[in-house]
Order: sequence, then structure tokens, then C-alpha cells
Amino acid sequence: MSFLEALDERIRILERVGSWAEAVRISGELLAADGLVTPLYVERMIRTCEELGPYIAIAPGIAIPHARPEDGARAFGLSIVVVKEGVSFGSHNDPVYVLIAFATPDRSAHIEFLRQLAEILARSEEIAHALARLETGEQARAFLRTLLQEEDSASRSGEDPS
Amino acid sequence: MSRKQPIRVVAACGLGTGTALYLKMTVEEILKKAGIPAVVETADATLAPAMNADIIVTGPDLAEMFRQRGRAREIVAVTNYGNRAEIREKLLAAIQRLEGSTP
Repeated sequence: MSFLEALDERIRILERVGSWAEAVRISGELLAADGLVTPLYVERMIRTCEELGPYIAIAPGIAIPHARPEDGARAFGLSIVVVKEGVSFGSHNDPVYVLIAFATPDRSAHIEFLRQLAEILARSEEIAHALARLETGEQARAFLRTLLQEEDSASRSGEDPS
Repeated sequence: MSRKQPIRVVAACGLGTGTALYLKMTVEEILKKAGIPAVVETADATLAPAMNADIIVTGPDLAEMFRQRGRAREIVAVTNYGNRAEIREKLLAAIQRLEGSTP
């Protein structure tokens, strides 16, 4: 399943949030509203970050909140929350502008998703700032569609040889 | 660089799911391109320190914890998971140190 298929309509653009936990909760509630995860999963997304530190902020400007499959993931899917003013996770990669939350009911690799995530993370600052300038979910989806298609054709035409 | 045994790498994150899978994929690609035979597994924060690995690749928070109580000989702390050059550089440096210290 590709990134955009997994994302569906679950994009929320916010001006600001009170805390990283609020942003994570909103990203989890987008998944829960579509039945992809249980309410427990959303709680565990937050608790994981409290217990294990801000490691989910994995690249400048981008965090990937998630919990374990057994915490209540029912189906594979993503949600995106954009915080236009940015939010601090207490990480090297602060401020975070984009949260890409995901749920997966098994531990299989979802290679297509991970490959496209890698493309986004490789240009994380540029993409986070670009998304933070948009106003609507439709704009964000159109931006991602263009971005991932461009990346697709770029990676077909020539890979970094090193 | 030649070695008889593949290098054992553990890609670890808090839960052993999302981030660890992502790291595993990246590390496998880097080592394949570098022609270094390796077995790459994923693990969560609890399991990773107990695993029999040459190298653990993880984020800076868990790296500190693994340094204090892990069995792995090298801990690679990745700050920006999107920066493949950072991951490659740190990983290959750790492998060189391993090669240097192998009896």
C-alpha cells in the first residue's frame, strides 16, 4: 500500500497546539475515527513517548508517532497532523511541524510505505516547512502527491551510486 | 574489507516496530551497496541490549541507555533518520573499529 493510499483523507492542519502530547493525540484520534486503531492505541502512542523519550522525532521537523501492533492496531494506515507554528518534542529535531502517525496490525515491513517515508525524511526540513505553509488538507494531499510522484520518477532515472 | 562472518546488526527503537523497521531497511541497503555481508534484525528497547549483536543502530536517547547496559560492541546513534549519509558514515566507522579490534 502506498503512502497516499494509506493516508486517505486523514490530514489535519492546525495553527498551534498546547504540547507535543496534544499533537500526538490528535494524530491518533484521526486513526481511531476511521476504526484503524482502538482508543488504547492512542493512549499508548503518548505513553511510549513519555517513557522512551522523544525518539519519534526522527528527522528535522518530522515525528512519527505510533504504538505496538498489539496495542490496538486494527488495520494499516497513516494520518498527518501539521502544526504550522511548530511544537517541541525535546528532541534534536525540534521544532516539529509534521507528525506522520501510523498503525500496523502486524510487523511486516510495508516496503512501499517505508520507501516513500525515506524519500520524505531525506528532505524533511524542506517538506516540513512547505507543509506548514499550506492551509487545507486538500492542498497538503496535492503537495504530497506531486512530491512522491516526482521522487518516483527521480529514483527510477538514477540512484545515488555510493 | 573482508570477513568470514556476516556482521550482526540490530536496528532498535522503543517499540521495535516502525522506526526499527525503517532503520533495518536503510542499514541493509547501505551495507549491501558497501559490499559488507550482514544480518540485520529489529528489536525493541527491552530486547536490544540482550541480543548478541556486533552493532546496535538506534536514536540518541536509546543509544545512551544501550551504552550503559548493552552487550553490543558498537552503538551507532542516528540523529536524523532521513540523512542517509549520516547513517552510512557512522555505521562504516563503527565497522572499521570492529575490524580493528577483531583478534
